[in-house]
Amino acid sequence: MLNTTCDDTFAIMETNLRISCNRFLSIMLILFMALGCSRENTSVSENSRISESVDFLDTAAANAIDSDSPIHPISGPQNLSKDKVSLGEMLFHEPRLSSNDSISCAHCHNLAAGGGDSLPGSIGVNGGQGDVNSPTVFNAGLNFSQFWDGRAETLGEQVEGPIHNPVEMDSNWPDIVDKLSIDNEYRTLFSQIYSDGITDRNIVDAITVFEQSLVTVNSPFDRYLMGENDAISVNAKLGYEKFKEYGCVACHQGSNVGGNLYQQFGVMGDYFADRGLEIRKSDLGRYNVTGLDDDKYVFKVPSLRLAVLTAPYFHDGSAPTLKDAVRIMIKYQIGRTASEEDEELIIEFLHSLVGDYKGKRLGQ
Amino acid sequence: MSAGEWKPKLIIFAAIAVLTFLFFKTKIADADKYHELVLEIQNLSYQDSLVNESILKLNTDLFANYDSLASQSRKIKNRLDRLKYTHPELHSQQSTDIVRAINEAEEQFESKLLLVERFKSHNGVLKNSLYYLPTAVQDSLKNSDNKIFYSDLSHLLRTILLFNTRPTDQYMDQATMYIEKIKKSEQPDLQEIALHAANIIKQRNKLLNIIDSLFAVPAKQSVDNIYHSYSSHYATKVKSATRYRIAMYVMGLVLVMYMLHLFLSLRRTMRSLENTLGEVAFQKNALDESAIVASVNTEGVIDYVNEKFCRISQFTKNELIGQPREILMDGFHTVNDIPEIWTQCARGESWTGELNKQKKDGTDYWVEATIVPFLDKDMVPVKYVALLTDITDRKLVEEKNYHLAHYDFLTKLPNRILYTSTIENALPSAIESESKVAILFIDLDNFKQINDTMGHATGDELLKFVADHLSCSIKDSDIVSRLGGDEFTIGLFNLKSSHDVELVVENIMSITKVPVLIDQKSITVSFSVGVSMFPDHANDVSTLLKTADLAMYKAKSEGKNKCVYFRDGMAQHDLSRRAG
Repeated sequence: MLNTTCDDTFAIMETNLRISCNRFLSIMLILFMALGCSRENTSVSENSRISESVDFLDTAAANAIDSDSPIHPISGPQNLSKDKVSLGEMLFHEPRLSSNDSISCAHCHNLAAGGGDSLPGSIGVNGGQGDVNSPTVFNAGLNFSQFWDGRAETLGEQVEGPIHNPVEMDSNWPDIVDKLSIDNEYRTLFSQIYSDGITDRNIVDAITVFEQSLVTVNSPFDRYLMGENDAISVNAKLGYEKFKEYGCVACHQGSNVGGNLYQQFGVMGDYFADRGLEIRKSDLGRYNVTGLDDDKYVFKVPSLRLAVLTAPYFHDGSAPTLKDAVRIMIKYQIGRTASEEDEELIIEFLHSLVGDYKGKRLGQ
Repeated sequence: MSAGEWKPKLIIFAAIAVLTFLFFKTKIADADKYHELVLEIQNLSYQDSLVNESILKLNTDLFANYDSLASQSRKIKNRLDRLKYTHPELHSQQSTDIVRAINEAEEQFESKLLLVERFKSHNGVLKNSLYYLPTAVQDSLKNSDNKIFYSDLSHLLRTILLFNTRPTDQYMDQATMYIEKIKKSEQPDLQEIALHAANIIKQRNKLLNIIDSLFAVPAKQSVDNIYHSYSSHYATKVKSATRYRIAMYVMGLVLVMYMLHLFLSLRRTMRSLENTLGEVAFQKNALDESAIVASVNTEGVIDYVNEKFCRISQFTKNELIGQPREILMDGFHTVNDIPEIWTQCARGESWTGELNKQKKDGTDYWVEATIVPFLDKDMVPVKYVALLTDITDRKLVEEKNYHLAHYDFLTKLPNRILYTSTIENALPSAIESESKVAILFIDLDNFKQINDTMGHATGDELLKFVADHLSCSIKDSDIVSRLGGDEFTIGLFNLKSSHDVELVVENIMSITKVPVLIDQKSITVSFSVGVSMFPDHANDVSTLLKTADLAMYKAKSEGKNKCVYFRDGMAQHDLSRRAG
């Protein structure tokens, strides 16, 4: 009788002891874990510092090589999500992005025709007339800013512009999201890529990624720059020399042959006076963005990569042909008169700048 | 659960909570985040220096395009945006100075990048003229109409180029002078040259101003400011994190000590418990050795018996455990007492008493039992422990003493004490049942003579024989006693009439007719019997005996070997006889 009682008491005491020991151990474990964590931290941060400095070097090296010649070849888009590119392409051609389902991005940025339209000012919903010439969407990602006046820094910001412009798409995000959400295909495609499905941000993202894929690679001139001497004609080579000689290359340089600085339209002559038309708001250019007097009539220097395919020319579309454009440029920007022969040579050179999209030479 | 059990648990949980709190507090100074941000800030500074480098290289024609400058400008904007929007720790309430520094840097870079754009534009215009001027001059020199301006043209080109690389007032004045000269010509190509040369001077001066103010923008200082304010902010965080870490360490130590204390006290308690248990085990052992122990649970089932119990009862443990408790209590003890034992024990009181029990083989044994209820803390019995002592030997001695005191040693018949008490006890019930009690006083005739002639041994044998004979002559409910010497007395109970007495007397007298063989000697026995009846002749034992004695003497005097019933006259006669 007494034995059993003793045994029971023993067992209880033993269990208590074991529980106490376990608690003791778990607290020690927490302590050691805490110490361990603080140690781990230092090692991680050292690693990240090393990788970041490698990144610095990369950029610096790339800069050094790129800066040797005024123009350098376009490299193809890298690391773009294929799903996003194809979704973006669908959206780019999607008229439901406009208020009355009539206008898509591609409406004014015709990819088959060089990424712009052939009108001085684009036509928006309900026949609205845009006040500027639509620039090509090709190689837009290589531009340092978007729009003629550079009011958007990035492609993503740019997308917002036409969507809301009353003479372009005249729409808004809630309507667009509502319209696309009805579509099963979009719902599936978005949910495959984005966890939050169809949203304004995701639409912009897909279109942006698609636009980043719109680069014209492998142009004859790029091949020439990379050492393929026969890639362009003798006249094109001569044209390039003229292009440099006349000083065009002072502004039209870089991989996009322009698109990386602003310049006043009419530095060497009063273009707008000679144009004879009333000065419109859009003629003020960058002034509309900064409000600085120095920025009046200042525009982004456009890329000449697809110049031969994107008539008419200038922000106002006032030059119907390339020849007109070259002549106006030489007169008002360079302050010279060029011979017909030189103009032809320069145009020949400009032809060699047209590259391929989806493996096919644009404009052919 | 009692307060004593809650306390250590509460302390441990509180300590864990405090430790966790401290652990997260030590994380406020996140070294990882700090390095990441410092890197970010350094990178901004680095991009700024790259911009400076690009400006200088473009200015000196080492760079031929603006791609890298454009990408550096973009990077600066991105990094500023990142600093501004993606690092919440830079925008806490305690870091307004950091926010101010970032905003200031943003302003500085905004003005710097605006100047960068201006630089690009003006540099473009300048380069355009610079690229053109040498060929334009050469082309003009080929033109014979311009002969008079030859030296002016070549001087102009030289001074303009010199001015472009070393823009001094002297060169500028000279160049301006040549430009004025050339302007006088009507030739359009010379007019163009003059225009471009003037443009070079204008743009170069403009660029100089732009570059000067561009480098004067304290962009790098503003980045350093971000770094300094963030670093000092971080340093205070590190300080407080260190304090928390020390607190965590101390807390950990305290906790370890407390656990150690608990551990040790637990060990102590265990050891003392072990000792206590050892003692208890010893005492239990001692008890088992000294006493017969059994226990019964509250359902009345035996759940423990010790070795001694088995030994004395001759039952095995298996036969006893699981049996109802009545087995413990069986025996001579009146059955009515047993429920009383249990009710008394159920009240929490112990019970003590003697029990006569039977072994497995049917023999009797006596125990003195103490039944103790084992109470829980609410004073409710959880089991009953029976501690038994073997008192069989004592009982035997007691029985022997009783026998010695109440029985005749020789004949084993009850002696006078037992006899008188038996009669005394019988009288009240006789009154109640209106029955009679007879007292027979029997004297062996001529015993002295037999004793003298045949020896005491034969006399004793004779007395034994008589005792047996008398015992056989009566019913079991009656009593025969030897009063001493050759005197016997018989008490007969539940008599209806004196006739019942006569039958017994006849039985007694039946052996007086023929001699009996005692100790191989033939002896003729004769009795003188006196009978006294209750309530006819007396009301108490001593008077009854006296009257029976008187009647016996009458029988002796009338010739022995006969029976005489008491009559009232005998008393006087006897007194006179005694007197005589």
